[in-house]
Amino acid sequence: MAEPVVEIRGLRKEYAGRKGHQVADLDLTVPEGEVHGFLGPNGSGKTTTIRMLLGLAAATRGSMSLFGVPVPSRLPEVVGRVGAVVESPKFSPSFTGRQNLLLLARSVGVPDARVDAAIETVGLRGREQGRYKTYSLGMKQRLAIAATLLKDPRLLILDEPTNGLDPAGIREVREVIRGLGEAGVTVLLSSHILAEVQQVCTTATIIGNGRTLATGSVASLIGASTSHRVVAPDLAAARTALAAAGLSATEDDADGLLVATEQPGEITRALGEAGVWLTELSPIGGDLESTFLSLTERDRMGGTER
Amino acid sequence: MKRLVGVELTRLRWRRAAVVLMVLGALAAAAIFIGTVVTTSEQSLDDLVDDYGSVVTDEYDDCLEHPRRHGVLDDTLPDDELATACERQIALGWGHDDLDLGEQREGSGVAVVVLLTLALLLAGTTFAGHDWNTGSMANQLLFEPRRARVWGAKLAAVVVAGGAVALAVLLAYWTGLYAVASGRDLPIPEHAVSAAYKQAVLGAVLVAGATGFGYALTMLLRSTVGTLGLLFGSGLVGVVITQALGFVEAERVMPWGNFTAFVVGSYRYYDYDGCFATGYEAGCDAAVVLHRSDGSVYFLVVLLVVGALSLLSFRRRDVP
Ligand SMILES: Nc1ncnc2c1ncn2[C@@H]1O[C@H](COP(=O)(O)OP(=O)(O)O)[C@@H](O)[C@H]1O
Ligand SMILES: [Mg+2]
Repeated sequence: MAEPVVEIRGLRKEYAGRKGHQVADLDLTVPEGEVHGFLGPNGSGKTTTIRMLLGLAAATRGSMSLFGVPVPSRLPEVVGRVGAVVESPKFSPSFTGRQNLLLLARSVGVPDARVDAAIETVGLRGREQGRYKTYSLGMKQRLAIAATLLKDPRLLILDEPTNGLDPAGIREVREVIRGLGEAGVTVLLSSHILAEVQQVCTTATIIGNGRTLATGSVASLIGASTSHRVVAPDLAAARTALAAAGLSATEDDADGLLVATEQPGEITRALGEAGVWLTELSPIGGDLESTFLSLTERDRMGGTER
Repeated sequence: MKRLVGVELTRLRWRRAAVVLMVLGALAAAAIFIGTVVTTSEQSLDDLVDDYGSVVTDEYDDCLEHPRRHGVLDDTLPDDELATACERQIALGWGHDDLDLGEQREGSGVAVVVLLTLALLLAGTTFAGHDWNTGSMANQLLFEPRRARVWGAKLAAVVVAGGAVALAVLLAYWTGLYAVASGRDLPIPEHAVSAAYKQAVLGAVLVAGATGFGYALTMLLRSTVGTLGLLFGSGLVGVVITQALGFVEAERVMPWGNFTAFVVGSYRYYDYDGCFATGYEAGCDAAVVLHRSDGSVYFLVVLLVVGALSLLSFRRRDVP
């Protein structure tokens, strides 16, 4: 089996002046080529973990590696292959989007042409000469993703990239992530939104209170769910697209379809390729949600050691 | 590393507040230049009358009648030459002093270095403060995680920029004064010119250090406001130290004397208490002189301590 792209063992973080841990005994493995969900409620330690992985914060204990190289000690060797957006993107507000990207590009020595290519990719062409502070949240997020593309990364680490975006922005960002995943980039996507992980990711790790609670393929975490409910503005088109992809779809009610598959990814892919928008995709009898809730609940009630 | 320094220089060039501060420093120097040129200009009798009124004309009339009283010793002069001689004597007494590069080195030249120091210290501060205030430091470290390099590249950029701006301004300042003095046909000793340029270089070195100091301190405190607060606070602490040690004893550890010693070459203060303590023997010399070497050591120590703390904390602490 290929070396995992991200490997974290027994990670712990204590902040000076705060009692207890913020992250404790956390394990995380991201296999190559997967879009891996890093799922946990707010405050469970996702950002803290990612910041330690990227050398922005020091771990109290534990070992981490990227592409099999121990970090942060040898982070400079692999950082060129890692693109990351941590929390809300932050750039110099008085510089234009393009200026911000140029400075980053030059600091790693990639040609300026790459900047314009990245701007094109995230759809900011025409707005790149505006000051960063005039950007909408969605544009800021897309600029941050453009910044990660400067390096042509093999691993993308995205910390709650859809936070605060409007529905259109969320859809765009999720599509970009799916596209990158299909292009072979390994993605670590942190989120507190179950549906997001379900829609975008192939594998996932669930954490609560700084601990790993469960990990595996999204399908296995969902467990019993064998069918999904699909709501789309154009149900007829959706049904045609699903049929073309070999999925059986039956009418659930006036505005929904029932699709028999364990893999929600198949549904989104089929609809995405046919250009049909989804407004809802939920597992029927699926218990990722209940798994998630029960795991994090149990952890909050019993597993505390503070 | 060269690439990183280049990036930081660009970042500095695009940073409006830093550029504005540099321009302000240059404008302040220009203002002092104009002031110096004006306050050393030749003045006619009419100018002096405008400034001081009839005392000047009274004295002039008195000179025409009693030339010797006013220092015109040759009383056989014809009327027109006597008038010129009296005018010159009046101008000597009431008018501006001539432009003297040696005097300016201890006067306006120091003032220019002081203002450049303040402006560029603030420029170094806002440069680093901006990275922290906007949170873009984390973003930069995702591209270059070797923190010592990042710290060093930013330091190099501010020091180079601060030194270059100061050197350009100071060279222009002294070249300008030299040109004015030559234009006025004033005698200019050779060594006065070389001493002026030497001071320009030393001043630029000091300003470069101050820019680096502002940067390093802000990298340590992680906010522009924090640095300004600390500098203001240390002003107050300075007052306390002065009160506690006594004004004279505090001279050695306060910036001003060391600053002057470094820029001008020496700084003299008088420690009469020291003489009293030894019973005030006849001939006790109360003068204490700080030399350029004292000033150099003082600023070098301050820079190294702040720089080391700044680099160490930047390498170790979590970046928000
Ligand atoms: N700089 C910090 N100092 C002290 N505590 C912090 C700091 N950053 C985060 N925390 C705490 O660590 C915990 C985990 O936070 P975080 O990693 O941001 O969670 P998440 O990203 O999963 O929402 C929270 O309890 C938070 O309050
Ligand atoms: Mg977070």
